[in-house]
Amino acid sequence: MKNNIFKFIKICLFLGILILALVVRKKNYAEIPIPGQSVDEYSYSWVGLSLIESGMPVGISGIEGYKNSLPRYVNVDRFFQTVSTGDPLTINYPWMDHPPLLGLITGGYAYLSGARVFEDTTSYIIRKPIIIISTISVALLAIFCWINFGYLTGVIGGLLYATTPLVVLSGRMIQAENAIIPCLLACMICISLYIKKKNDYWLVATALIAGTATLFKLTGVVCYLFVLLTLLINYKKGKDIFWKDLGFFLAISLPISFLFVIYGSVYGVENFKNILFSNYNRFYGIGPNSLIELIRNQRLTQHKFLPEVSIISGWLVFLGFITRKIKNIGTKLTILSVFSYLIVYIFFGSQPYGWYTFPFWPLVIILLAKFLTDGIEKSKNMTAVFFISILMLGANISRIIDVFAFQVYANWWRIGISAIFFVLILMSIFKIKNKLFYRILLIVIMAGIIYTNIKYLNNINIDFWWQNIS
Amino acid sequence: MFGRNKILLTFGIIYLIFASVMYFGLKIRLQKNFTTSKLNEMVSGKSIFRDTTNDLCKYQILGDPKEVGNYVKINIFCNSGKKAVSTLSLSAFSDKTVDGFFKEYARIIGFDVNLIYKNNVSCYLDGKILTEQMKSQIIRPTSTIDCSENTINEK
Repeated sequence: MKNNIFKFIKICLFLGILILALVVRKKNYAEIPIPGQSVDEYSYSWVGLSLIESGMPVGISGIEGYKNSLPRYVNVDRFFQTVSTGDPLTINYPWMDHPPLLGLITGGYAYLSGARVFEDTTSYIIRKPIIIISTISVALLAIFCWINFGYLTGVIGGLLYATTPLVVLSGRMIQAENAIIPCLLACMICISLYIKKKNDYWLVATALIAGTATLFKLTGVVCYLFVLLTLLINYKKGKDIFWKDLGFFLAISLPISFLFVIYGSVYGVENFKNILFSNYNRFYGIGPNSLIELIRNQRLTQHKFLPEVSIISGWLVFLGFITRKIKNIGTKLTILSVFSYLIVYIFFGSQPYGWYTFPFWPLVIILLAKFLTDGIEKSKNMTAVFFISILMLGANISRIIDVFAFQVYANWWRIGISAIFFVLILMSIFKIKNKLFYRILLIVIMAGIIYTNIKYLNNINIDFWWQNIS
Repeated sequence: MFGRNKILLTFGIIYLIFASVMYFGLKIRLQKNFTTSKLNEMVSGKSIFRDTTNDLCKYQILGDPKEVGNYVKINIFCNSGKKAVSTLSLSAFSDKTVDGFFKEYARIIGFDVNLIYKNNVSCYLDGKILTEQMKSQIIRPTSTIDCSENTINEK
């Protein structure tokens, strides 16, 4: 009976996190990020809408290799009056830049909502499905943490991923990466369950999801790479099993990815090949400094920066984790998925668009959640956990009140934080562990971080966007 | 291992059916539904969701097209003192006559083109007053169109 009540409370809290994730994503979703700052959002939807209406995928591209090019002013959301550069859109068909699955979801939803022409696909309509997808990502992240690290990590990871402002804003954008994220997280869940339970159906599910990921965008191949590396580390002593598992996985996932080739062949193999090769020769705009940019300068689009301390902290924790021997399978899988996407990111890199980095964020937040939970539950790395927590809280506070308004609290902050650091250092020197004090302290800071995240999100409207987000 | 073979067989059958339906379904749909007029209707069709305006100066197109020497500039001066300045790339116009330009501009901004043709709006093409005859002429790239609402004195 007691267990059932606990289970019920746990599930209610889990659902509460999802509701919170949905609510913060939904507020001002049609206005922020400003529609038209990434015309890809429309392009994906137009591809789906035109496929449904005429059987021909029509979208915006601009890459070489297309025979049919149509410059046009499609003034959806009146973006030619708000963020236009003055150039008409280059509409191409048959559009083969990416596989059409995301377009079919957003364009299909637009079609069901009554859209028939491209101008009908307003952000108010087309962003709704992506908000649902990014809320599903929050659920999958929390489930992964719950299964592999315990319930508290699930809650902390879920709350951080649900409310981190950059993640929330990025989760409103129709970009294939937002669909690849739940696929990667679902792959991580399924493969971890396969390793633990040795049930083939989990490997089948992993293969189905990995194949599907590539139907959103070719960078979905990250799921293949992740599974390959996982099977390699898990079966380094049993090579026979490794080959059998890999063969079984590929026998299911590869045909699904091949659906893109079948789809492309409907519109001519030559056309499909030309565009694929044009895509390969794209300008390598992320440049050699891509790694430092990844850590210090988070972006939403190419020119909109919103550095996010939770993500930067996640990267710091990631560096901490890879320098020591890891035993926990969940941590191993997360680190492998970061490296898998890092390889894909460096290999596929073109222009430094923010969305190429989106899939890193849930992964570093998982590691951050694990690090914080170890601090709360086991009083592990007390000073470091406090440092990271206060790093996030401090940055969040500075986003909602300026330094002059902060002067009222300056003495509290100055004395409080320095005193706690002093006490924590003394405790670590004398190996004293006061778990209760430490737990309460971290839980209060965590609550502060989540509150300031939500408060900052509430402040973001169109005026705030233009004035404060460079 | 027998279980895996069974899974692969089931998957293979479902996959073949799905891939065939997708391939032939798309081919048939493409042949039946796709035409150039359908494409133009989708790309240039007016939205049921977008507002229309009677104020010619409410909206303008921001920025200048990068393409050199293939644009038309339109300046509209309204009675309210406001003005709308837009530069549009001619490459985006299928009908390159003056009339075609006005119709497309009206579609992009979202107003009835007859508002421009009303008696109380005078337009000049490269400094010459726009006549009915000129409307059917092909517009010269880099042209400037100036339109202004005439002041109406109501006594």
